[in-house]
Amino acid sequence: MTSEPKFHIIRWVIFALVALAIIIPVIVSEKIKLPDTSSRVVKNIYDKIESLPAGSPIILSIDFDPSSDEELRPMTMAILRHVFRKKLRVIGMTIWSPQSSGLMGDIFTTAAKMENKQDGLDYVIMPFKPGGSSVILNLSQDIFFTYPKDYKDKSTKELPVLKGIRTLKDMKYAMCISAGNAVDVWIVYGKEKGKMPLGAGCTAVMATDYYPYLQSGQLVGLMGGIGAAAQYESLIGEKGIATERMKPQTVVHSLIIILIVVGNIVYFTRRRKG
Amino acid sequence: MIKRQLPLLIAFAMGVIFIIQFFIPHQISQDLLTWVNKWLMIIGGISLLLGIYSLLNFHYLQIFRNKPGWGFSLIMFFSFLISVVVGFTPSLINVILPLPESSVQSAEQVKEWYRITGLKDGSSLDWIFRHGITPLSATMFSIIGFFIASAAFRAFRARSLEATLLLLAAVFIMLGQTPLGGMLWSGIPDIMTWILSTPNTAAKRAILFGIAMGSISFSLKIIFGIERAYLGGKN
Repeated sequence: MTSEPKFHIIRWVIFALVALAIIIPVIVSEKIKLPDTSSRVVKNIYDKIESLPAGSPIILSIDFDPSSDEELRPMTMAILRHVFRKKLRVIGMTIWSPQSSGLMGDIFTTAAKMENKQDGLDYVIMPFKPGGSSVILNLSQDIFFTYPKDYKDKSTKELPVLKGIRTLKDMKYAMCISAGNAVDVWIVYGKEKGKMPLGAGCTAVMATDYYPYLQSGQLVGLMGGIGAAAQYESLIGEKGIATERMKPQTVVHSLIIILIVVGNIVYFTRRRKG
Repeated sequence: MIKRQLPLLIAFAMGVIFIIQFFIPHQISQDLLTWVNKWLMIIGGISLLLGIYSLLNFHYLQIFRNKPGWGFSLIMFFSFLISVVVGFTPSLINVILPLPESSVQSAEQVKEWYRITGLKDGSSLDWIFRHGITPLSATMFSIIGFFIASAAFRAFRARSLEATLLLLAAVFIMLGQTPLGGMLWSGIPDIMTWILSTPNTAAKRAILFGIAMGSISFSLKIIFGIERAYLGGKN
């Protein structure tokens, strides 16, 4: 009974510390300098995109909704800017939720403005279709059958960006950025039917789930959370929001480690006292 | 009788046909898959309507039965109504505050209209999405960070060998995920990579195989009519 109010206070102290660990690095962001890091799994995605010749068609499946926007938007932006610079043709789609379409439109428009790209000519955004795996299976049969019109209600058959493309097999690369199980669906159905190289992006907590697919070669690379997005920004030489967000993240990770250490000291001290 | 036998027969026929279809690359077989997938997408659309019905029914009962937290259900109805009205009438705000034609009105007046309505581009629904759904969803997701910190303090205790190994793995992963790990010791990112690509992959692969075998056996039980829970009812 007596420990309950004490724990309540400790919990609020922890919450306050986490809040400070986020706010302070944001305020003094310019004074914090972190070194660039690079991991093989992120670099593999960069190398794959670099290896594609200009005009190659690729799919970017945006399978997250507003709850994961803050974590996954930076990596989506970095990848989009990279593929636009490489002059690749991008098909944006989602199998996740109707809300993903709204985010996708916003992200594509912003990246296209930055890299001076045109809707319909350099990229196309497809509307949300329910069905998940069925949508991917239909793409493996006929893209125009699956998406007769783009999100602006234009006939997809008339779009220059889709010239010479008919099925998933015509894709040179596909990338799924997901906050759920969409990567699994793309591996099982998209990769199996389309045979194209597949990359994945996900929230940091989900990244561990996809390591078996890296080892089996079903994924060429993997990006997990803000850390991977910051690495990608560094690779394309365009440090942005992810690099900035790594600062509070680093401080919060350090705080959690300190809390674990303190928690264990308290635990062992109490155990020794019996 | 037919109410139970017919779904079982359809499940059996479709299951067997599409197991065989997977191994036949002929165009007729591929067209059949496309046709059925089109139906699946239509059924997926209908399931969205069922989801809406289920949501509204649940919250209606919460209010009707005066259950604790019924006020939140009322907010849900209110938000739902606004989204539907705005969604079906994208130019609703234009009706209330008519958008001046840029060809006949000055640029300042157009700018003023945007300032009053809060709209920059896109529809009124777009405005709700950007300024309502997005920040609210992000807030809900962000709260997890606070609970993780609190849980780490209470739960990560070196009580046993297994718990100590888990604790050490967590510390190395957290340090390795940030540039701080490499700054402290250059070996930390390598240890993190090893943990993720060796013990983690081995465990995940075993779980994946288990899930796959379970899915296959469950699918076979549905195809052969042994598993009938999807039919509903008591039997």
